[in-house]
Amino acid sequence: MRLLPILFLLLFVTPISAEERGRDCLACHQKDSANRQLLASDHAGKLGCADCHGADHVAIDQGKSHVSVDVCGRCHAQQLEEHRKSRHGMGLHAGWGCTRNEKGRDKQECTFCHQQGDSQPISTVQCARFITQTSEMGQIGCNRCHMIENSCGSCHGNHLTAAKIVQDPMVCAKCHMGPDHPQWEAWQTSQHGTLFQSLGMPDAPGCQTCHMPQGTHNVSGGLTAPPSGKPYAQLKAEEQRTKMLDLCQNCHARSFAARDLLNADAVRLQTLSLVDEARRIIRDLDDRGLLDPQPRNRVEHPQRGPELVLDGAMLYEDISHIESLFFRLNKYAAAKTFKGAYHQNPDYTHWYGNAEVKLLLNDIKGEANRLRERGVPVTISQEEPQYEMALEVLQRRHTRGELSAEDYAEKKRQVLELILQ
Amino acid sequence: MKKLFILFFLLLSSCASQIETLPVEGIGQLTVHPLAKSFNLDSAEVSIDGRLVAWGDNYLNLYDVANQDHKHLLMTHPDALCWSPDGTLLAAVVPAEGESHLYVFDQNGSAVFDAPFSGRVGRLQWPYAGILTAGVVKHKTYTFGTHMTGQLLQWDKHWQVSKTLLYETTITPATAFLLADRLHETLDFDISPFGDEVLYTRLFAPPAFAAERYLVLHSLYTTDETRIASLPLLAGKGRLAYDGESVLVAAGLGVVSQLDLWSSDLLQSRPGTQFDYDVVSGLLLTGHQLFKDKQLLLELPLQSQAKLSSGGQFLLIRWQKQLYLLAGYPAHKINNPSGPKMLIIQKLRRLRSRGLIEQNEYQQSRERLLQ
Repeated sequence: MRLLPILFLLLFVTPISAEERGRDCLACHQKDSANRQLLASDHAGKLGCADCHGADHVAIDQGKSHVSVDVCGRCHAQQLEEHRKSRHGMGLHAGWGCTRNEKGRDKQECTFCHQQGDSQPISTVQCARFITQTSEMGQIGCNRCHMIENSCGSCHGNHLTAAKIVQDPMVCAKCHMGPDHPQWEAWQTSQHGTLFQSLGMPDAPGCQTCHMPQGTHNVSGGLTAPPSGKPYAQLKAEEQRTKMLDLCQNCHARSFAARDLLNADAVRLQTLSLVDEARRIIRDLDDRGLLDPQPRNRVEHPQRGPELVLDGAMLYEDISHIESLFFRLNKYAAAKTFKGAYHQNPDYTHWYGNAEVKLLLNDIKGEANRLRERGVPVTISQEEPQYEMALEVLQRRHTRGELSAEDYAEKKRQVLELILQ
Repeated sequence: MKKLFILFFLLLSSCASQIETLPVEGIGQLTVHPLAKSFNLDSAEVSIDGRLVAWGDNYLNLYDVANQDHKHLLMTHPDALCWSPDGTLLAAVVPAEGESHLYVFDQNGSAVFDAPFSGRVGRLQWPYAGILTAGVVKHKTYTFGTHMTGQLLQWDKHWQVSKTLLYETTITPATAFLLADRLHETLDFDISPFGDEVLYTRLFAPPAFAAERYLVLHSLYTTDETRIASLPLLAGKGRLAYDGESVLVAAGLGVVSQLDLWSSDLLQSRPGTQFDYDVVSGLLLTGHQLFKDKQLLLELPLQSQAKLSSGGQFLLIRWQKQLYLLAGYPAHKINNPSGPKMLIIQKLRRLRSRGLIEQNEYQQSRERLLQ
């Protein structure tokens, strides 16, 4: 008799099956591709629609049911943790005081903190190239790849989530291809890639073999430089290299693999030196006021204003011809050289990469000569705004270490003398 | 016009015998003229020739001191008012259905220009001929707080208006509630005599931070900003000195300080919760004392309130419910550099604000130029 209330309670705590949890949805969505894919996935019979999307149909209709990495992380905690430590998890969503979840909010509020179509607050948007895009271009051309930070579906697909999808190197190709970082093409046409096409895994390596060993979601293991391009400190770099060589050793002699990666390191440094040479030529032209148009006479850089930008925040619109050449050299040709070298691809390293770097450097030198011959060099003069430009040049040269503190002070004194005359 | 001045000074002289009624001590041939009218000193502005006084109560009032003629120019209380540098025009801004309306009157009280604009005004300044400037606050309230902008509206001699955004911020609902319809009073400003910098007060109260109000020096060339001091939300102010190189600050601590803008050195410090400063004459009124540089010129009665006229040559004083106009103390116009020297100083200041020369290089060059 005393068991009756317990039995009664058990009626309510008996687990409800996934089928039951999804039944309400299936009344309308039975034939939807989403449902068909879910039934064919590893989640079939384990998850219902509401488990990931919630049960608030109005919110779902309003597009508020995006399945974030946190939703997947409820069951796949380890994978989420690894993902967040990796380059794939780098912050695109640094929201501060965001009101997106508040009831009855005015959507116009978003524009106080965000560029249209951007999830980062304006003040911390890092990518100048994103800022200058239209909303539509930003959505397709930027977010489709960079949304990976908060979307497992970027690689796994939204409903099918089959393991075979994410074990195929093709899944990486969507983003890791193209002129700016052709990792996929470099791998595909390397010996690793051609063997993979003949033999498949596990006899030949795909992307996941080296970058996601044992299924780790930290794809940054074994890489010696972060996305900024500045190499890690020696200790960290050695630790990373050791991790990679441990993998190489599965198929190669360790010494052979180490030598190959050291060669790639050398190619990278040699290429960076050529990039630096090109950068110095353009800076010198800027110092002399010979760029056409000059940074002060064109649309301002959204983060740095009317200054010459030749680093990772460089834009490809509203710049001079010689800067366009530099953009191709740095962003395309140099990147192809590195990626080719680290993916053991001779053609990408040499012809698409190194040869292009050097040909573009020739073009930059030729264009620089043309501009020098055409332009009037900046001289120290009282004429406005020449004296101001002269001081700017002196300051830039001092900042770059080309002018000692004493020389800088003396040359400034000369300019001030002219102003006071 | 000359005759009018003579008549006016004769009138003042005839009242000199009444100086005993206002116990004031100081340097110069002091003359005191009691006014027949009484009004709130805080909202009053005296023209450069001391002839006209404008103030706000339920109306915008204009009072001719010489002939005691009193007119109501507008049937509403102005947010701000000021005289043109030559005293021929009076500008006033009144709130109008959540927005504002600028009126400019001549000395007879006839409107010569008017224009509506959005936002509310914290201060009006007419620093030099042809540039009338208003500090305007605009805001919009949302669920998570209030978004506000502070900007300068400037009308040139043809009444063409231009805008300069000073700041944009979001404040918490609690701060917005606390300030209610006085939000515009948080923006005070002062344009430098060289027209290249503006000292202004900026409200800072985003979520997760305590509400603060800063005194900020803003370069109109580079938009670079330097934080000078922290002020109470609705009290205290800062003014640039006549040479544009130092700042006078009342930060609600019972002291008025003069700080070097670039070295932050304390140049002088006087007791007082508020002050009045005239950039044309360099006169500083704080507590009950009037100073020129560090020299004491006048000592006013302790229970009095006072305000400097435009140009500094007159003091409007309230003492024992009676208003007086005091003149005769040394209030000479400061000879700031002009012509080519002024242009060179402007260039040097621009180079300094752009960080192209250091402060010591600026100072040495300036001293050489003014030798």
